[in-house]
Amino acid sequence: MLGYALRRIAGIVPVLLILITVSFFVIRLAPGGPFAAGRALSGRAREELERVYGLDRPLSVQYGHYLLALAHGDLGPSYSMRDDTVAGLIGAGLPVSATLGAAALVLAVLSGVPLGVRAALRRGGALDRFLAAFAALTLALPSFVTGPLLALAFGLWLRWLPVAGWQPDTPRDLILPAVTLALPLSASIARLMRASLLEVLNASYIRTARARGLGRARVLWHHALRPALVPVVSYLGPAATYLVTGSLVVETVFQLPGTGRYLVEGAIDRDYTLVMGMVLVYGTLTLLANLAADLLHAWLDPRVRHEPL
Amino acid sequence: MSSIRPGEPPGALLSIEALRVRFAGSDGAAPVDGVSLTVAPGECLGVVGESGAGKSLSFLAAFGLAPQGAEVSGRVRLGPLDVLGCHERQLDRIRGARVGFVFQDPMTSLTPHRTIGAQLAEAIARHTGLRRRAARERAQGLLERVRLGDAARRMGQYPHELSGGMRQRVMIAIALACEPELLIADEPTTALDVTLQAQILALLAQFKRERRMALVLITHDFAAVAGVADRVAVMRAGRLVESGPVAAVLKRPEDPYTRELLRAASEPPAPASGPASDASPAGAAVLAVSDLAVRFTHAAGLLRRRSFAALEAVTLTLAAGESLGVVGESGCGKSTLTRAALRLIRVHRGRVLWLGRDVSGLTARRLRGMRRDLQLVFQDPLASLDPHLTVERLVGEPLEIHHGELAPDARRERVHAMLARVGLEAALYGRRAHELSGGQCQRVGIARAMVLEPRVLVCDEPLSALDVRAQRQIRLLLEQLRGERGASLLFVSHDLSLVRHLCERALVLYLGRMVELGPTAALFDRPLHPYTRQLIDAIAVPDPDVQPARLAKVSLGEPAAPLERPGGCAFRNRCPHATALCAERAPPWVAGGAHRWVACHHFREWADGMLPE
Repeated sequence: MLGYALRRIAGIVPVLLILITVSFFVIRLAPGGPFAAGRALSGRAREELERVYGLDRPLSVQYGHYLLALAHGDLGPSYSMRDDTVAGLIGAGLPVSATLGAAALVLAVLSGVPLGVRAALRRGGALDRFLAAFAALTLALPSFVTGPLLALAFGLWLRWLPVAGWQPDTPRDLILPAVTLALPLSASIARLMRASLLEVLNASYIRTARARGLGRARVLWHHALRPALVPVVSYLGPAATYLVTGSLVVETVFQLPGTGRYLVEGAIDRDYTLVMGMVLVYGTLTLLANLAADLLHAWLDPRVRHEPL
Repeated sequence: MSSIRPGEPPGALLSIEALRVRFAGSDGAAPVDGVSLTVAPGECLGVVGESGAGKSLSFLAAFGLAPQGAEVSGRVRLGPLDVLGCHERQLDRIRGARVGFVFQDPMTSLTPHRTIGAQLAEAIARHTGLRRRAARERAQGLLERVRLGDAARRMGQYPHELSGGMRQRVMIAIALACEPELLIADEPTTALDVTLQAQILALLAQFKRERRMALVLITHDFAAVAGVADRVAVMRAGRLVESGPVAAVLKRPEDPYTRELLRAASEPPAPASGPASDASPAGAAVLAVSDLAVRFTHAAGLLRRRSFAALEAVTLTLAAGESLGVVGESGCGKSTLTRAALRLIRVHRGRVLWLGRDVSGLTARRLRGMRRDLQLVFQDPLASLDPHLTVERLVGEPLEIHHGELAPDARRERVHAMLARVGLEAALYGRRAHELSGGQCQRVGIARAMVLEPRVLVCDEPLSALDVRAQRQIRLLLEQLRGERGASLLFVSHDLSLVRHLCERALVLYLGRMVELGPTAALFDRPLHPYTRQLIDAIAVPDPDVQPARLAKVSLGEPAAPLERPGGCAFRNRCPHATALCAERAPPWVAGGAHRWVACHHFREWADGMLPE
């Protein structure tokens, strides 16, 4: 298991390097630049700025400098918010975004898995039918609709939770955004869990377990649940990607000072270093999420960890 | 009620009366329709019939293991206990404790993520209340009793790390864990090779004898019944058609259906005769390999790889019109040989010739056009057909690829002619694989291969997934097609009686090496290699006078594993005639008579009976 994990972790580094390289050149292929589009800068001033930031040098030199700085942990200055460094901006926003994403993921798993198990065990029952309707609804409604609806219900009418905004160290502020982000994820996980448990319960090893007189509970917990979790775990990779893109909308709706907005703003402003910083951070997060999913998969299924890579 | 009711012997352990199983919402006939049976302590009841006869379902339903939606009625008694009236909780105290189950297909019947030891110990702990450690100790003892080698290490391994035969031993160990009064074995030997079949049956017979355990042996194999059972019940379409003592039913069957099944099982072993019968391959070689070696690698810890030789130094020629059988136990390299000869897997060393042309160095793209002349029929007929395509498309696809010039009408005509030739009715042409029976699927597989009129037809265990009647039908079809079309046949099977029937020459493989090659009739009359002798002895015969004694002679230990091949002669640790020379060096491949070849240091002495048995 340890060997498998080490081999997988070693595989992340080259992927990140490719990601950095491709983003570095692609963003520079887009027309315009950080100091070009629609800004009242004289030709002289722009040339001066580009010289200061090294943007007048050949691309290969810029790329080399960027990698060198990156190796020292320096993400560079932001071109559009000139008082801040990229590291500073991300460092301020990431705790909010990461807490939001993690809370949503935990909520989705803790609600989706039991819901799916229950629906599979009582197939066709009330909860099973509720799950079908719940899944259809939450997957169809975008979060910029569910978010305001939840804020309206719990914030304005019931007055249980704040409508929007965020102060440090007030977890209450994160409840509504996290629920908004978690709802469709929870529905997907519940449906995956239901379908996969139903399939596993038909497997011949479940019949063997029952034929040993192990009893319903033991058959479910010790024999059926782990293999049934495999599709759910495989879904965690795509789920992480969803959390990254979804946080952008939810942070805007609930006015959270997260990092989601930098993805869009940075790209529009051609703030090369900010975009690169965001790509690096979210790329790493996504790769780590996929790695975690694969490691969990290997833990769930011994056949995976014995495979030659 | 139409079922035959055998007179209930006093003191029956299990008695089933008028058992019916129906599925809610289906309006077809009940899959089990009024079955009555009894089994006494220490007795073995063989339950025989084709697939779909309701054999397994009867016994699953009797103990609450029928699939969801089954409506079960009738009476099932275990001693004085009314089993059908039991709650799930009461059933859980019976299953695994008083009644043990061994299921078909050991590959999928063990939980993949739990170790062998854990799965054994949990059943013991559950029914005996033993603590974890004591339960594990007892579990290991059980693995030793079912002759699973290296039991201590096996305890910590997962099911996928064991071979099919080992897993079936584990299944038996689990079933026997709590000393059950009744063991229900559902096709315990199907999908295992001859040697393993004999070993597993001998093991079951031994436990039945030693513990006065009642045994229900559900099978489609009359030879298995002949070896172990005391009484036989024959089922067809959910009903009992005949039952009685094994000798009476097998020797003087009364019901016409029983007679038909028995005939299918015991075809007279007429020696195969073909164009090149008995002679050396005189015709031009259509498929040849020389000094072929295939190695497989697998991970052995972090970054380390181990490789083993799945095939070593195999040289073989298939002549035009000839049929050649390849036999040996599971893991001996039979399938690897066919795949390497068809260039479907990477060859480590050696040359491959198709129709006289060296194709060793050719790329997959260059080979594609040539594949038309060499076609393959697979073991698992259902899994080898694309589930999305209709029968007509499946058989038409090879023509689309290799005969693009054919107009759609002409192509359809050829497909229909081929399908009619393999005996499939027009009503089936629009069906998909899952809507067909196993025998029908295999007919489609054969039609798909034969529609191209290949020069070579390679069959990899084409019958082992089918029941007796389907086996016989497909075998006859293969014989006829070969006669008509004159294709050469490379026939891989662990079933020696089948090879004897179909092939003029046979090659015996052991752990990836050739041990004997010769005309089939001579090979059977006077085997030159001790391994060939053992394989012939392991052939089961559906004769209750002979088979129990044959079974009693079977050695119960595990066969050799490909990863642990001994040095010198690989067979020496199973050979009764092995000497110091055999440990020292591998025997050479030498001529042993007219058209006969063998790899054994001592074949001259032992084959003529000079060495003591």
